[in-house]
Amino acid sequence: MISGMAQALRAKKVSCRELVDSAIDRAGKLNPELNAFLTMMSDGARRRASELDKEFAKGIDRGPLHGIPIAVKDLIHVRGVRTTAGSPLFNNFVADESADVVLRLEKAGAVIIGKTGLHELAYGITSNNPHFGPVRNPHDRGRIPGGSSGGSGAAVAAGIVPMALGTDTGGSIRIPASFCGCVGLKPTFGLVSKRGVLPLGFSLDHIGPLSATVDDTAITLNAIAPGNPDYRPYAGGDLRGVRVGRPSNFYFDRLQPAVAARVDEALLAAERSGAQVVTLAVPDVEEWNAVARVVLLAEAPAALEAHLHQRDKFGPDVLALLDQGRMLPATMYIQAQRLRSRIVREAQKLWTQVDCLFTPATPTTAPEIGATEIDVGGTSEDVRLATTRLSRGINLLGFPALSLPCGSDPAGLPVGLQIVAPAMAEKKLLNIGCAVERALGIQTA
Amino acid sequence: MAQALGLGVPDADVTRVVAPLVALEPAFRRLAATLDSNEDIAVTFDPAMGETAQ
Repeated sequence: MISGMAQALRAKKVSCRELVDSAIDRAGKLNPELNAFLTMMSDGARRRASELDKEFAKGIDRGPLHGIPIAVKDLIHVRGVRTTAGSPLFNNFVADESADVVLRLEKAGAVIIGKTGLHELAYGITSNNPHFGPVRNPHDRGRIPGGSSGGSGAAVAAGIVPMALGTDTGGSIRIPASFCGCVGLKPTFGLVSKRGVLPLGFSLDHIGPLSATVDDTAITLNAIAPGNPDYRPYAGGDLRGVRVGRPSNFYFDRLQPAVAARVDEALLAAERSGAQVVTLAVPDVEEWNAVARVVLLAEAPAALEAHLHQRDKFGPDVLALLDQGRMLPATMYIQAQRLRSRIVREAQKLWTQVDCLFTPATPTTAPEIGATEIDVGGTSEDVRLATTRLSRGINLLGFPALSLPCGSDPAGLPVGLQIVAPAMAEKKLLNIGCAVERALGIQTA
Repeated sequence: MAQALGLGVPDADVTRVVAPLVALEPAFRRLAATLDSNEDIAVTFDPAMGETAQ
């Protein structure tokens, strides 16, 4: 989608200003229903788009993001614009400096049209925010978009912007990508700078894009990763020579039937495209999840300690998690970080057998707004724990993971495929994702 | 107790607040018991374990 817009700009079929105006107009029409944006930056975006048109006229071309309208999750600082983090604690907070990712995207020519809604303080997966109202799923307004980057997922899925930045501490990019039917990348831990982004879990937080296509994801990663990388996938590439792992344990247990069916269809499509599908046992993911929960329970109240005395400014679900974390013995956190060393070392061994893992991104499609329990293959589960079950452990490992749409359930709700790759193997991961998109016949223009 | 520790959690709420921790802790303790004394803390977390190649 971004490359199509970029071609149209260079062919002078459209101007930066027209693209940005169109995105702002669409947001204006849809936001009253979706609540995807907490703050619009319309005037500044229009001014910036006009400047970028002038640059084109002078022969200055910043690359594929030049003049492309985007959005950023509202816990990422943009200079001079309020950053609420979805919390009344920061209702009037205006950053003096933009986050590194924002500076990089602006340098690449992207135009930020607004700040997207999220689960309060990014600590949850529903984006049903008690202070700013629920973000709604464009596929079914009665359902959650996932979270915590729910507004970013909704803004992309509704066709308002081709890319919106999110953050991911336990699945907060991949879950909304799965529920909204867009592509979401959690890069390798540490690859993308977190400076200027409100922390939640210091050793679990990642920043990455939610976008319409894998190529859009790669274009964004080129801009926000350090150096001068080229993550864009090979045009027309297939999966010959790629060993795709299908876990025989955990990841395909306790799924809604449509989720299992769509992910297995994606595996078949990968096989048809030349991949060798290898069934293999993965280490104990329940262990990964337990350790990741302990790490986050401890790190979140440390990140928010200066504000914890203002108890009336937290929603009940977030306050309960923060209180639990404050009662967690320090020894548990230390043991969790020791277990983590062992877990990462053991998980690394997977890459001697396969190049990537294919799993569902979430066990279910999008739950209804307000639901606290969801039926998963005949068993009722807590929505938060079920939804993070397949994503949380990957944050502990720090490996890059992509969620991309692989079809829908009988109600038309999107199903997400999660592809996990070795650390720093984003180029390979995005190549595989692009080939899967093609094998599934997903439109990427 | 929580008030005495300065946590700001009303004493009447402590049982409810810690219930998920109570559920998590035994399984976690069993895991922690499998650690040998050479296992270090992930102080500088490096998922690449020194690998940087694509």
